Amino acid sequence: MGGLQGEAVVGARVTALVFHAGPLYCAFPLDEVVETMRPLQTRPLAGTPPYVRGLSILRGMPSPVVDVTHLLTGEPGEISRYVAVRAGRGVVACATGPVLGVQEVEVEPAEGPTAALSGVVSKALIAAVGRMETEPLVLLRGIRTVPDEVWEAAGSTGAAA
Amino acid sequence: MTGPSVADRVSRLRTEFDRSFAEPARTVGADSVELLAIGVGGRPYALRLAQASGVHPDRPVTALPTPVPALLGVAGFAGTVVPVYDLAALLGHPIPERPRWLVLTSGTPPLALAFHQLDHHLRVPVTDVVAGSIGDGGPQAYLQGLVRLPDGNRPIVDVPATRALVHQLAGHRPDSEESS
Repeated sequence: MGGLQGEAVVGARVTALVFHAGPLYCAFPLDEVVETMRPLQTRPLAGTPPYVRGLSILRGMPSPVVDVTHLLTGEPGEISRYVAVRAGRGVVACATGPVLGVQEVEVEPAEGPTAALSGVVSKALIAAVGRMETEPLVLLRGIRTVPDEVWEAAGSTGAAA
Repeated sequence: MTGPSVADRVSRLRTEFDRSFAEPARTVGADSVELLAIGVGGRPYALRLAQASGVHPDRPVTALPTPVPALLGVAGFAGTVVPVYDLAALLGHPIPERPRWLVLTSGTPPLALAFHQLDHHLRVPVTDVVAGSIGDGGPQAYLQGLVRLPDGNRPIVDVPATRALVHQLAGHRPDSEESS
């Protein structure tokens, strides 16, 4: 295991779950990933950012669903999988394109290469960047972009269940 | 035989699998038991998965001349010739339709049981399994307990009891090497 804790070290090799998010290759460190599944029924939530698709029931608990393509590119993406990842206040279902599998990816810390992506993605999301053959790969850190009100809605849904 | 098409079954299994992610996580332990729900001669039964070492569809079975009606013949499993018995005949309700499925039982000597339909694999709490003999003799002697399921109760076919009884049918005297 790469043991990435928020920040990658230079030239680190990280075991990660690699997936497509629209035009981007993305990855989550494997130790943040709980499981993957086909998209589940998702109930929209009014008043949330456009990248929050709503709430799904994951393993009996209401969980926010984040469209990763929308989050990274500003455009909704085609969704073929949900990737459940551990986040600060629970598990978040990340709606992604196809999951390519678990791979060792070689990454560089975010500071330098991320400059080229500034304005496209929030740096707070990126732990490091690497590449998949000739394409850039974005290694995401724990999803911390779920607004508090979404967690509160999930909590109240869970309490009502 | 009419029933759901393969595409329908695949679609149903896929939907059930997807829905399972919404259910609370369950741990497998001593508090649950894994079963195969099977159809035998048009009736529902269950087998304990721990008493099976493999399930095989459409396996060629070579018939043998035998006075035992339930003995369908022999089949090859990894170089071993294994007797195949028709579970519906053993349980007292044979039907003309040839069983499609074989379950290779665990334990020795080797034994395969043929049945008509594989319904599903399920894991149930031990509290849903009612232990005890179903009856005192006859075909009931092959059964040991039943499992309560939403679609009804299913008697559980007991493999060790079945092995002992088919060997009696075949006039075989078990020796001390044999085990379940």
